[in-house]
Amino acid sequence: MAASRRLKVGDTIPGFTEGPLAPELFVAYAAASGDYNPLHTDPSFAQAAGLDGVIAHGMLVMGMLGRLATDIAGPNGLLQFQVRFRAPTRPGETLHVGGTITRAESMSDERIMFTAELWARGDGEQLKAVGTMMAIV
Amino acid sequence: MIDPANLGRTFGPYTVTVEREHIRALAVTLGETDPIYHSVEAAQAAGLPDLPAPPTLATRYGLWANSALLAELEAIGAPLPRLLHGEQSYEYHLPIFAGDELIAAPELVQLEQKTGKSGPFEVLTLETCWYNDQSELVLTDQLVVVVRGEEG
Repeated sequence: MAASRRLKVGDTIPGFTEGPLAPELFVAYAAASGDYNPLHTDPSFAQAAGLDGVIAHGMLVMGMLGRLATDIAGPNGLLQFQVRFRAPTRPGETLHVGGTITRAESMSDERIMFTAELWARGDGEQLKAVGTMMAIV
Repeated sequence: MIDPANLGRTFGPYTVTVEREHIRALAVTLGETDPIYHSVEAAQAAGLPDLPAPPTLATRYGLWANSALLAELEAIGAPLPRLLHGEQSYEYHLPIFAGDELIAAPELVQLEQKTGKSGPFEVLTLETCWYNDQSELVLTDQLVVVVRGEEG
């Protein structure tokens, strides 16, 4: 899929935007992932835990970054994928995800092994999650 | 507080079957529209044996939908409602497809006790090596969760 693209260091990975995120998406993600922690779906529980309201599952945000990763690496090209969650995402926010190629090496079989930095942010500059991926395309 | 004697212990082992429905449901909520994650015909047309696992699928089996593991974590003092995911990493060794049977025994590889603005909390790191039914290592999953202190 992405094999014909000549990736090089500094290239921007075309990202995408998802949102505004509805609280129903958090409920749907709970069912899809099996993560029924009420922090993500029950506003009164979240408030009792000291938050303003429910927050998205971190893995929902990472899943979006995973979509970005397979957009570029295909379903079997990923070698490593790592994400650190930086700030909570709330209903009504829009996620913007993207990335930058930080390392690219041609292999003897003409494929390219590359490393990229990935990020997810809200509408402002606040980072929700940052990560890295390594893949062969 | 979690007894530090739990450091290094393993949970399980757990055997799971990767279901097509798990892959489709995850793809739908993530907005992943590539038909290979939805249709077996599309996956096979792309040269794959069945629906491929999205990159984050394994964490379903390695924690969040693993009720036996969640019960064990609760028993040592880390109940689900107090868990917050801090960090997640994967190393992919072999592709995973719907129908695959995987087995793993997650290991508690790190346990830290810390104090923050709202009191003490703990950070635990679980490392899970998933093997297929040929005993081949297919995926290494490492997750860091914060165990929030008890309220009040």
